[in-house]
Amino acid sequence: MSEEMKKEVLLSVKDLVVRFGKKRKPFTAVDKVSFDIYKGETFGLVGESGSGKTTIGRAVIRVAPTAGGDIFYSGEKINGKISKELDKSITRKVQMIFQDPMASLNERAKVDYIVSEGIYKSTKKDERKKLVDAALMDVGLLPEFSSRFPHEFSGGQRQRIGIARALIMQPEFIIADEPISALDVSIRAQVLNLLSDLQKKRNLTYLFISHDLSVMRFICDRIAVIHKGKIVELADTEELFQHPLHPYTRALLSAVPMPDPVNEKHKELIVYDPSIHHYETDKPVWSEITPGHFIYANQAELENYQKDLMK
Amino acid sequence: MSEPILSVRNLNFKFTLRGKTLHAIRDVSLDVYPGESLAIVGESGSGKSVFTKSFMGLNDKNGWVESGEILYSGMDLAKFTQEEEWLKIRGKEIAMVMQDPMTSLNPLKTIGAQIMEAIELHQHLKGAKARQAMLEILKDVGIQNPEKRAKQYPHEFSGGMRQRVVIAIAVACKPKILICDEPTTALDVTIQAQILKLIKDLIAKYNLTAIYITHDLGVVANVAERIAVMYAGDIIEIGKSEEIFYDPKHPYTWALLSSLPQLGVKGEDLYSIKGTPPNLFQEIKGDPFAPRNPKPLKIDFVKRPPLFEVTPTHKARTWLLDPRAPKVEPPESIKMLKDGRIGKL
Repeated sequence: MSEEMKKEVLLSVKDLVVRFGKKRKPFTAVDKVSFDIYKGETFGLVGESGSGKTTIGRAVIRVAPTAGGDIFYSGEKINGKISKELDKSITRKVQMIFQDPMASLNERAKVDYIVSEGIYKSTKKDERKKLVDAALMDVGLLPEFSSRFPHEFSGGQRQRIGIARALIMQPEFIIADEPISALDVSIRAQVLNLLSDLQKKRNLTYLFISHDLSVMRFICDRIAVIHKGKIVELADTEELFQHPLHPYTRALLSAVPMPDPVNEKHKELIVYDPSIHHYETDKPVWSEITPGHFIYANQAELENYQKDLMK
Repeated sequence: MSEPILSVRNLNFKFTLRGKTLHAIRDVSLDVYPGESLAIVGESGSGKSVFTKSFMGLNDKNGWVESGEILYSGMDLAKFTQEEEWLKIRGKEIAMVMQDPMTSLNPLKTIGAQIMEAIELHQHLKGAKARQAMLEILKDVGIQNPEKRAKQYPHEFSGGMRQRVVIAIAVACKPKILICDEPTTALDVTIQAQILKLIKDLIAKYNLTAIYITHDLGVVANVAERIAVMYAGDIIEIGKSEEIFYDPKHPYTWALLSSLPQLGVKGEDLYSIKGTPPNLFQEIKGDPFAPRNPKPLKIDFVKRPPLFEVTPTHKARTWLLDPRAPKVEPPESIKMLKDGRIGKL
């Protein structure tokens, strides 16, 4: 996204907390996370399994109840108790694409039902058929496929069905949770291209959740790095790759395998050791170190990071 | 080069499925040399798993070796029919690390017992000696506090730790060849890097020959000295990893490398291979990649190309290497790999 474009905040997450488990022994999966997503951008959320990245996505789509903080969609609060009308409009506007196309489609339903489930009650039969055909065409599938079952499709085609199911709702905002992790290299490229085409055509905004940094570098405008329920760093994609500051970000970047045998065999792994942080007295805060580059650090660390950036 | 430890000659492997015959491995030859790390790269359905499973007799019952030889220390594994014959090979000579550490361990047995089982069977140690060997191997694979961990069950281990245990079991059999089938696909990036390093260290320590199976070209670049690219049940290109990454010859290898997101330009479409892999239920004529190749030659549809030699270590099965073929340049984007422009972040 270019600098001149007026940035309109579409989704705003403020101090979000999600807890699981019993009241007596709660587990905090997401711990005071704040970020904004601008209209039309692709915002990446990267972290390892158990870091809480999927939980954030689920909180935004209101499947996981929030224990604290606010989520605003175009300025309206959408977590906690909301009116029926808002609930309805958010359900339509915010859609999700899942990781595993083998598991996320109903094995016993035909494609036309899978794709049209969201509009099933609100449309007539022939209107519905038109919409399903259009949605299938949009994702590069043939309308004839609507009478088939999911097992008749390959992984890439199933993922397209998952995308068609989201598109038929005319969404504005799509949460894509590891949409290509289960796919082969060549199919991956097709699905990535499809996602970016749709974004251009329909002015969609994406929250892209993944653990694969090389894919994220290619498609995300901004990336937030999450570790154990906390976002530790957030910056424009290239800024994050060129000037990673937080030691966890650095460790993550160093671990990404690169397709270059000579460099890859001599690379040095950075291992993240959380005990290097001394947060007992000097408490860490979420601060903007340079415009658009946020980091979770205390005062002493901030000064060090400033020095790093000067170099 | 020394004598190969494993030599596959013109292997054809078929399955029957619902009355139809699937030709999964089509006339493949491969030499594996002692002490090397070879990676077999391919997409799902390319036959890479079937190929390596045929070295251990692990393919499903509806599959059989149609023709060809798998030569290993004076034996032809392709002729094996009885389970007893395979038991002499499995684990002891050739061991395998599977993809998913969640399913390859027995949930009802302690980690220690599962490793001891392998040690007792293959190293013929008993009691306290076997226990001692088990603790040592746990330490070798980087598990802290082995005395305590050995008494625990698989569910008490994280994914990365479980994969370490699976590796420990494989290594405990003291095999000559270690096959790693997508050893890190189910793991996080930072854990993946650690596990790859562990496997490399163990290979050096126990002087193993390693065969990696993967679809992740980044992992391949990290671990492999030699790479074999599989497509539609055939090795279409093989060479040292520098040769495959920096000077690939087969159009499929070009396409595979071009679709890497690291080579993509932001805001533009990423290169993607059109179409789908061929249906192996039907006999394939000519070059199997021809229908998806953006610039196929006429002969690609007619005759299977021979394996042309590029250098003594680098071979590719494409008509483009025939002296009579027109000159077709590899795509511009993969030259970035050679320049080392994407090697560093």
